Amino acid sequence: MTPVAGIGVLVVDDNDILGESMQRWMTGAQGVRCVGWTGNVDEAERMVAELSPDVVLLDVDIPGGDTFALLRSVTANHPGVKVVMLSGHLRQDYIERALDDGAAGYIVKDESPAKILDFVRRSAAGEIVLSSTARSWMNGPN
Amino acid sequence: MRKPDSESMDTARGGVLALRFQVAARVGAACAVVVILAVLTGWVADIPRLRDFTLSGVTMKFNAALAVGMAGFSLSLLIPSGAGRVRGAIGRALGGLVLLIGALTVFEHLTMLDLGIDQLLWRDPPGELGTVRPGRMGPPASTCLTLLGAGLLLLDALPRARVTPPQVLALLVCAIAALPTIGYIYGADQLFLVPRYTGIALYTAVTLLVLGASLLFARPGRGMVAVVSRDDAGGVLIRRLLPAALALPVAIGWMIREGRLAGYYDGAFQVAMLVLTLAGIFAVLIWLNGASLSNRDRAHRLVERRKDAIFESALDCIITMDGGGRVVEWNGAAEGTFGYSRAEAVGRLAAELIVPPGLRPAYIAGLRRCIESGGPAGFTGPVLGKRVQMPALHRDGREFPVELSIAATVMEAGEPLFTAYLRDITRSVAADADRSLLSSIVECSGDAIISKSLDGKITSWNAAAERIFGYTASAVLGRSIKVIIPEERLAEEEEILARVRRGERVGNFETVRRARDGRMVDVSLTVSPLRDAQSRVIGAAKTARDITERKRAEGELQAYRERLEQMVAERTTALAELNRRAREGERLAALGTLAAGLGHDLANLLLPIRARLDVLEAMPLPEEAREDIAATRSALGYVQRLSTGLRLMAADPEQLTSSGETTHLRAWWGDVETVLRTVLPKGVRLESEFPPALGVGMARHHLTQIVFNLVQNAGEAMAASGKGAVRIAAQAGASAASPGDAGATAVITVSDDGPGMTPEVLSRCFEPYYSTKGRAISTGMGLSLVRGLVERAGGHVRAESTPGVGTTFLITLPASLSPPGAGPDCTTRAVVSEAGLGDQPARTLALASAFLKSLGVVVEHEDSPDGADIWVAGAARTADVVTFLGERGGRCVVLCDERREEPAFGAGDCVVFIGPHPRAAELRKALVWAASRAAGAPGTRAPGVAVHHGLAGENS
Repeated sequence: MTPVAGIGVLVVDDNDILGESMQRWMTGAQGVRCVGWTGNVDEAERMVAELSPDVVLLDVDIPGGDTFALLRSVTANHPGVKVVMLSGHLRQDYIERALDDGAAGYIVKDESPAKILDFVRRSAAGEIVLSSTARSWMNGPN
Repeated sequence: MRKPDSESMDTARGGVLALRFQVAARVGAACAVVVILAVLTGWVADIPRLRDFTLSGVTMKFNAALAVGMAGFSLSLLIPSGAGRVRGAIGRALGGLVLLIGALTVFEHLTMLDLGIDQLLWRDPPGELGTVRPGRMGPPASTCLTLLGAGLLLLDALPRARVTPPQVLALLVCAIAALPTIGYIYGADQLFLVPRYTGIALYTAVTLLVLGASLLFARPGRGMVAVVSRDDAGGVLIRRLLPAALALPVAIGWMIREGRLAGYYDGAFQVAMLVLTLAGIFAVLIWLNGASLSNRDRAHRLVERRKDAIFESALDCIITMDGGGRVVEWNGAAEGTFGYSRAEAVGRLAAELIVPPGLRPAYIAGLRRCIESGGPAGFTGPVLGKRVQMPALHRDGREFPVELSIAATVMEAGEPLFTAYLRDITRSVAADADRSLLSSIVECSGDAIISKSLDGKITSWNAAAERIFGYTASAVLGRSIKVIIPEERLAEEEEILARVRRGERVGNFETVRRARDGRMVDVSLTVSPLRDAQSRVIGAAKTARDITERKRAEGELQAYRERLEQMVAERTTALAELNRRAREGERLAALGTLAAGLGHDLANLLLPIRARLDVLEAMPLPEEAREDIAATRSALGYVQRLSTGLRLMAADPEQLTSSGETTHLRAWWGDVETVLRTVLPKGVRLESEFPPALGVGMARHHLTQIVFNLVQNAGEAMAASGKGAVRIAAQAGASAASPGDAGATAVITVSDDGPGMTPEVLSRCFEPYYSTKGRAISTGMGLSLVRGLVERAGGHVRAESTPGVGTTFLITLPASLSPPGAGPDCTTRAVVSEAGLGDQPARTLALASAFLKSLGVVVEHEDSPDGADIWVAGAARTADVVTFLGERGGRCVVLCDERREEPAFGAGDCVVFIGPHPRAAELRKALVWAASRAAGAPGTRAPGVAVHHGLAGENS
């Protein structure tokens, strides 16, 4: 959308340290910019509408908030916005649910910031991205 | 209906008194005859004194003497009751002659005619005094003889009249004869000396008086005389006072007259004396007799009261009825038994009161027959004098059984009186029924019921006893109970008898008895004392139950129980084992959750730290600072691997209970190798060798946990030396020809060339919590967990170790179907067609692309060279698919379409149909299946068409 300014990323995570760190980190990264950070699910939807990010990095576990509802809402109301789940959990049910609800990817927080940046870029390009650790899920029980 | 002979009855009842009167009458008659014989002798022998006792000149005429003599003879013939016919006829003939003589003479007196009968037999001497004509008796004598003759003829006329004809005639005779007799005694000549009216000789007067009296008492049971012979107060009074009333005035009057004639006193005194004497004598007589009668009456009443008391207090009902069947007496017991009071019952028909309606006709007929049967010997009937049982009727309508006896009595005038004695035997009948029931119960009982005396003699023996012991009752009655007691148990019987003697009951005593054929019978005995009415123990009642069958059943039951207990013990052991495993499972789950949480938290911290490091690194920093950042990054790398390892080992909460999981060893190794390296000391190598397409039936994280433990143990053992290698290898088990067969196994070996274990340690290494060393980083799970996990998956684990050489763990697990061949030596290529066959949603294709990459499949662009292993495309028409496959030579096509028809694919083609908007899980499974089909060398790929969603992923 704004190629000059790079890919707009909204970070939704209740972990202050992570949120702030991501924001700070993206400030110096090439091709991406952090348009905002919030730990509140309700605020996140409003921010999506206001800030029109290209990619939303959405933590799965936000106490007091239904992140899957947010995912469905953003997907439905803002078809151009890619929502990539960024989670500390590696759970088959989370992955499947997120993909069924329209997520553009599922990234485990184990990934290095550089890898995450790559995922963000690829998802913005229309790819569906999965953390390498998600392979264990693909090879999991049928 | 013939009435009973009243005279005989009267005589019988009058008893001695009546007989005495008859005897007296006969004696009187006989005396008269004797006197007449004397008079006749006087005439014949001319002895004046015999003709005229007083010599007053008035003689007894021959005719009179003859007639009086015949009358006396006639009377003596007729008096005995039931006299013979000849005797009666003679008597009556003589009576007729007497009547004839008397009547003819009276006729002569009345008509003044001479019929010539006066001197027919004897000529009177002339000049006789007191005579109208020679030889003719006077009017008193002729009148008396007429009356006497008539009385003799009518002796048995009107026997039931209150005053019978002979008695009237006899009284007249007595009255007429008494006057001249008194005249002779008192010297009153007018009374016997006036020829035309009163002339009569003393002999004549006295004999007529005697005969009149005899005639009066000839039938003492009849008419007015009957009362004299009765044994009641009236009879007594008459017998005592009448003779005195007749005789005393005459005697006393005579004595007082003699005193006056002797000149002792004058006429006035004589009368006063007579009156006073008579009054005094009669007063005394009446007083004495009255007192006597009063006493007699009191005694009689006492007797009556006693009888009444007996009658009323009798426990049995006493009901008397007359000949018509009406109730005459009804005692207290009858009131209680039948519900009618005496006042209500008396006078009513017994048939209506107490005889049930159904029996009334028979009762009435029986009563009639009974009365008709009445005779001198009394009544006869089927129930008389016997005890019979029959139903009776209560006032309230209910019938009840009674015992009955009836006595018949003949009352006055021959009327019968029935006395019924009845007893309500309801209870006794019930008791009889009870006894009968008890008796039948005893006989029908399945248990032997035996009674015996205190010395052990058998006194009763029921049918069951016969059956159980084989002796008939007749064979054992009176014999000792010891016949059924085995020798060795005789003491037992003594003990039982001793207890019974003390009045104790012996219950459910199990023992053995011997049957007649020698067979031993298991019995359960209950022995109770038998007591008499005074509660003295007189014997024992013994119930013996044959428990042979029960004993046998008990034996079987015992065997069953033992088997059951054994089974329970086995199951308990198995359950304990299951419990142990379940606890381990819980522990694993807890550890898994902990590991997952730790991994999550670490990841949450690692990312910001790394981001900050990136930020720092981008700043202009001194070289030392950059080295510090690099070191930090290195340390973070370790933490990163730890986090990944933890997550790998973490149990997926969704998968904890799933079974049948398959882990492809080579793919799995690709994931965990990096992590496992981190647990080995520096300098220790990690080597691996996995054949392609070998999988095990075990969850990934469990396999990771197992191998992690073994590798960690090996690393710790080798930490001291800091060199050597840990080798992980897998191979198909020897027992299976090919993976996927039932019973196929895979063997994973984890070996090291460390110091090895001593035999002691080796033998105990799988014990829970057994440890030879402290551990800084320890899962705390140890080898026992390893064994638990392996066994849970249906495998087994063993260890081989040689000190100084090394240790090898061999894990045997079920092998599974070969999963996708994503090994490094076999690259599967796929093309996801974005344009090719249809308008498939881009998102589905993007998802397929991402999934295939995750599976290690190389995803290429459609423009890439032909020969891709997997084609993923949307299909507009089936024909296009066939064409597409023909052109591009692909072997496996994932068609994102809902159509279900099965087009004619080539023999080696694999086609998976899935919907246009598949769920992630479905798409994943479809692609995993496709990848497994497409893996491996050409020609080895399994053909098939998985129709529709491809969920099953199986050959069709």
